[in-house]
Amino acid sequence: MKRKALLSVLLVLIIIAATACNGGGDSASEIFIASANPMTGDSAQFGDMKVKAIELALDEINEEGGIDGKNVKLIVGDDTGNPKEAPNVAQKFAGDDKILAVIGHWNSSCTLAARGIYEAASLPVITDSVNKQITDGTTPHMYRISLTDTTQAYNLAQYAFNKLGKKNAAILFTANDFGTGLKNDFTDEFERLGGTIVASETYFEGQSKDFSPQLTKIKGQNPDVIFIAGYYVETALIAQQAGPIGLDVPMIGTEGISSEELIKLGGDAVEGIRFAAFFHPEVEFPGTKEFVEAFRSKYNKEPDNYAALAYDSTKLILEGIKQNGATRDGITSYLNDVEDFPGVAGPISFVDNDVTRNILILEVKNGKIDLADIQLD
Amino acid sequence: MFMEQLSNGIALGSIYALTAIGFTMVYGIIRLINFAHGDLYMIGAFLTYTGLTLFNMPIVPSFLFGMVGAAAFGIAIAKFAYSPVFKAPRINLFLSAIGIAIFLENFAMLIWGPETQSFPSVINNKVYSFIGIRISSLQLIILGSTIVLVGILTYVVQYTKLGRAMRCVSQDMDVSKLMGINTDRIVYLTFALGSGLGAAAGTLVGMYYKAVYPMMGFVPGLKAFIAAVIGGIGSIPGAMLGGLIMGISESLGAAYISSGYRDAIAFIILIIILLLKPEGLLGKGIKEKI
Repeated sequence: MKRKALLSVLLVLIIIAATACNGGGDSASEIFIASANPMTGDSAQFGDMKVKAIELALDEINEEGGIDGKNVKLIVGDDTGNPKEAPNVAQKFAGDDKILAVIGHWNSSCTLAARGIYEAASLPVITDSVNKQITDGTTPHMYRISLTDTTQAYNLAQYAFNKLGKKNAAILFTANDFGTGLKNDFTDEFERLGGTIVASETYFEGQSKDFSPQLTKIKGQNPDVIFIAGYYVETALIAQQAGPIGLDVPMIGTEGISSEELIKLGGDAVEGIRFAAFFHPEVEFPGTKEFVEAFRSKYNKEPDNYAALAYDSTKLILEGIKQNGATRDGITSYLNDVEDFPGVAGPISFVDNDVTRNILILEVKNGKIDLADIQLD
Repeated sequence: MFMEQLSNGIALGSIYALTAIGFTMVYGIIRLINFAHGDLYMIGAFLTYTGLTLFNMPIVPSFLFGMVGAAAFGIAIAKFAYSPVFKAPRINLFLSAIGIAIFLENFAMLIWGPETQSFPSVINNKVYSFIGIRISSLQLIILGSTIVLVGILTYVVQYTKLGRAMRCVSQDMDVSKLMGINTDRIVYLTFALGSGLGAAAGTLVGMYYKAVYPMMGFVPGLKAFIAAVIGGIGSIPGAMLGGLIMGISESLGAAYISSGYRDAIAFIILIIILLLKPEGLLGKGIKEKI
């Protein structure tokens, strides 16, 4: 009887010790960052690329023994690309004290919907959404690692007018914040330079599959260049359908179409399309080559724009933790002060929460994405 | 430009028509608005895609594989999702269909991944132009298959013993049973046929746009529903007419009114037709006896 009592006491002690050990282990030996990106739904492939790149960066640091002996782990949230879902994910992360920083969201509308929640919790966020309102000064914990839609549209308008010598542009834009913003900015800049916008037609992201009425209408206005303000799936379809209609003019687009998938979907039809981007494997900065090789060997895929930016975001956060300790405030103050951080897509500094970087012009040549011969100055 | 926009509209309309035929047939026989039809269309396209890329089959066997596979899906859905609630009020069946639609979309994301897959180009797409109309060989194939399928289906439903059994079931299931018709078999067969037709539409559309993705059935499912209602739901030639009307009005609307309103135009036509002729253009009004 006595032995039995002793045994049960011992057992209880063991259980307590085991759970205590576990609980202690979680917070003491691990650091958590989070990804809030679309993992399902129409934009799932972008979230997938970003998470792959983040995990690659985390694997690298964990193999080296982590930060101060602590492993860094990723918590993945799924905003489904839906601005109604994004605040839920944000709420979950903001309320979880062990999460130190967030990478995301991908869709501008999601970032806009969620940013107030992160701000209230002083949780630093690095996004690659392009809508210019995201960094309007009301959310100092929200950093943007890509350039705004406005900057891209201005640069592309200058490129088309000055570098390609085009005077009559047609615009085909997706009917959301992203596309409408691009259309307005491109129109302003192109007309300021002295060009004419001969046609502006719209379509619906993820729903429109048939572009023949828009393209036939555009053809009737005889443009010498078409600016496509949208993403790669639609751009591939537009390029394919332009041929049979007899519309044969150069097309330009934003980083929204910089993906290998553009070529997989568009085939020969997307040959010669030029677009803005922030990253290309051949534009080498310190670490670019190693990143591209590691990504290829781990996932058997080519890293794209978003993967490179997500990788750089992760490295920035990790560096912030290394220098200022594992706190939200530490990371924020690191991001405020960082100067020319050596990213794989170029050096990173933030001015008023926006990154300073150059735009590359890429072109589809012989079924591959290559640097265009003519670049912006 | 008018002729070009008209031919664009006919091409688009024949895609809607093709999707609407299977939809309207299932409604005609079982009185079920099958909201999973768009997703069977997607499953069919993905199965054909799998046949082409994974099993390296030529296009015709892959196409048949897609149709038969989707038909099997249709039977399984009828067996496990519809037949348990067949005797319950219609709303249960309807909800079950929506549930299946959500299930199929996520199932496809799990198996084939959420991203858009490029459909291999299997047919040399030549462009023919005459009297201002430009039409590609794929558009001709889609239009041709729609007409042929409408012809075959109309024949089956109107002139064969099987078709007569189908029409009996649509009128009164209990009496059909008393007359010695195996109603279960007819119901399953209807689903198999409807799903196979959906798969054919999905595959042709996948070929046409060279893209397949899990959400590809959602909008076509709705458009097929509208096309079927415009033409008179349950009427097979009506579905074809409804599809063409929608395609042409969308193209002309986008060209002469505004490209942002093209979907709205389809719905406005739906409302006008429902106001003027509630049973649809070719629908037969059923007088309810009190």
